Amino acid sequence: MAIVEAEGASSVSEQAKVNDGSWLRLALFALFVVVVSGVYAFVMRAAYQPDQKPAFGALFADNFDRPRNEASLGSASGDRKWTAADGLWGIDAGKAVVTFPGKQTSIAVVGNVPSASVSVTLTGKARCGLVARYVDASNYVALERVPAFAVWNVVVVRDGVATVLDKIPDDGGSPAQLRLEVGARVVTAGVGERSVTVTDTAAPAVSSAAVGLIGHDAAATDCTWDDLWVFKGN
Amino acid sequence: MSRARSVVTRVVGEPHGGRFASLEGYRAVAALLVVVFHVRGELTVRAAGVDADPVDNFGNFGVAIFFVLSGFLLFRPTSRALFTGEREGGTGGFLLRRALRIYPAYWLALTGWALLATDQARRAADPISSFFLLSSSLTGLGVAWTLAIELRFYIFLAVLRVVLPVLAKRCSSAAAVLRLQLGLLAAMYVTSVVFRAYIVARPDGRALMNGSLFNYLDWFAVGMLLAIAVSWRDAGHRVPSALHGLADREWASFVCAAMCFGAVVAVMPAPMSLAFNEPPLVYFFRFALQGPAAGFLLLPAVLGRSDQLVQRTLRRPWPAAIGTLSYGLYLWHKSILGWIADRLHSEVSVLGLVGCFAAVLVVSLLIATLSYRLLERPVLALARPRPDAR
Repeated sequence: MAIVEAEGASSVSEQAKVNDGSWLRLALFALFVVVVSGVYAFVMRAAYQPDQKPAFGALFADNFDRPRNEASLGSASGDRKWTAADGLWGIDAGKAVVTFPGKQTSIAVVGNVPSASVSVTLTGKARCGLVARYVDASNYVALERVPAFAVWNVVVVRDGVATVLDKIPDDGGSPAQLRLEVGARVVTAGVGERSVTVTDTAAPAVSSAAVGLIGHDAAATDCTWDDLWVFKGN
Repeated sequence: MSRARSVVTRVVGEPHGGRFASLEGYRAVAALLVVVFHVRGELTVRAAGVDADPVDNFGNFGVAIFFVLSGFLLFRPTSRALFTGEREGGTGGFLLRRALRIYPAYWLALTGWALLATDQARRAADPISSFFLLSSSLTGLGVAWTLAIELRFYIFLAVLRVVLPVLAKRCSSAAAVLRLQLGLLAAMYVTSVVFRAYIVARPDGRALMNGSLFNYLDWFAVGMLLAIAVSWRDAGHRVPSALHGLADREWASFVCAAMCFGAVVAVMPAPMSLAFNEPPLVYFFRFALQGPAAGFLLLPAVLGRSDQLVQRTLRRPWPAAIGTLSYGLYLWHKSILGWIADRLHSEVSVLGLVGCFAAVLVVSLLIATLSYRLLERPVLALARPRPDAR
C-alpha cells in the first residue's frame, strides 16, 4: 500500500546496495522468507483440493471450491465447462454467484443431460433456483423461489412462455436444499423435505439439454449456489 | 504531549520529521477509513435491510488517499530531477526497495491469514497468485488487490523514470518540462476515463474493474500533479496563486474535498448490496470524484503552511504513530475481523460498530507494531540507499 517513505526524499543515490555489516540481517531475512513461504505452502496445500470426486452414481458434481473468479464459473468435475447463458457468473468464497445480472434472468448451464436429477444448496432469499432440461433461454424447466408470494414455483418455459406447473410453500429457510428431476414427461421438484411431482404432458423430446442455475432480476446477486450434484434421470 | 511522544517513540521509533510530516497522519486517516468500512461491512452482512450511508464509500476513499499519496511521494523525486536536471537513481534499486516495502510484511500477513482462515476461504484463493500478487482478484488476503495495483503502478513509474529524462532532454525550457509532465498526467487521466467508459459499456465490465491499473490511473495522477506543483515551486518557479491560496486555507481545501466526497455519497445507490447494479454514469462519477476528493484533502499538507490546525494535529505523536503502523494495520485488520466474526457469529452485532472497530483496531495495531519493529524496519534498512553513494 502507499505506506511509502518519500522515495529519494533526501536526494541520495538510488543504488539499493546492501549496507556494510548487514549480512546477518540479510541472512535473517532469507530465513524469514523460507519459513513464511514454507508455512504458507503447507497450510494452503492442506486445504487445497483441486479435484472433486462425485458421489457414487453421480454423473458429475461441482462444489465450486475454486479460486475467486469474477467472470467465470470454470468447470465442474469431468472438466465439464460452465456456460453463462445470461448474465455474468463467477466464484466467490467457494460458491457460485451472479457477478453481473442479465437483463431479466441470469442463467448458467453445464453438461449435456436431457434427463437429469439435479440438486444444489441455495443461499439467499431472492428469486433464484435451479434449471434442468435447458435447451435455450426460451426452453427449460426451473424450480425457483418467488419471495413475493412465499412459494417455490415449478416452472416450464416453452418458446419463451412460462407456465407454472406446481408450487411448494416457502418457509423462508436459507440455505435451502433444492432438487429437480426432469424425465421424459414427469417433473419432480423438492425443497428440503417437501416435494411435488407433476406431469408435463406437452414436453417435447429433446436429445441435447443442460442443467444449471438461475436467478431473476438484479437481486440475483444476493444468492449463492453450492454443492451441485447431477444424477441421470429416470 | 511529551509523554505521548515518549510512548510513541518507544513503540515505533522517532516520528518522521521534515516538511511533509503530516502525511503520516494522513496515512492513519486512510487506514482507519478502510478499517471502519470493513467492520461496518461485516456487521451489515449480518443485519439485513441496512441503507447506504457515507461509510459505504469510506473503503474506496481510504484507498484513493493511499493511491494519491503514492503518486505524490514516488513521483516527486522524478519530477524534481526533471526540473533540476539532476540524475535520478537506478530503476533497479527503486523496484527492489518497493518490493522490499510491499512483500515481506505482506507475506507475513498472508501466512497469518492462511492460518486463521477457514478451509473454504483458503480453497477460494489461488496460492501462487496470492503469494506473488500476480492478480488482484485471486488473493486470499482481502485487501491485497490494492497491493497488486500498487505494484503495477511501481512498474509504470519505473518506465517513466527511464523515458521521461530522455524526453525532457529535448525540452528547451523549464516550462516545456512542465508541459511534458502535465501532458503525461492528461494522458493518464484520459486513459482512466476511456477505460471506465469501456467498463460501463460492457456487461461484464465490472469484473475487469478492480484488476486494472487503468481504472486508478487518474487517482495516482492527482498525487503526481501535487508532486509536480511542489517540484515546480522548489525549482524556484511560481505556483498558481489560487492553488497556493487553497493550500494555505486548509478549511477551504477540505470544503472542496467534502463537496467531492458528498457528491460520491449522493450518487451511491442504496442499499449497498445493489452496488453491482448502479447505473453506468453513477459508477463513472463515483470513481472520477474520489481522486480529486483525496487530492483536496492532501493539498494543504504538501503545498500549504505547516502551522494550520489539522496539519499540526496530524503531526502529533499518535496520528503519526498509527500512520507509521498503517501498512501492518491495513494488512492485518481484515483477517482479525474475520477471525472475531467467525467465532462470535451473529453475536458480533452485539459489539456494535464502535466495539467491533475498537477490538479489531487494538489487536491489529499490536500485530502491526510487531511486524513494523521486527520485520518492516529491519528489511527497509537492508535496502536503504547509502548516504555516501551520491
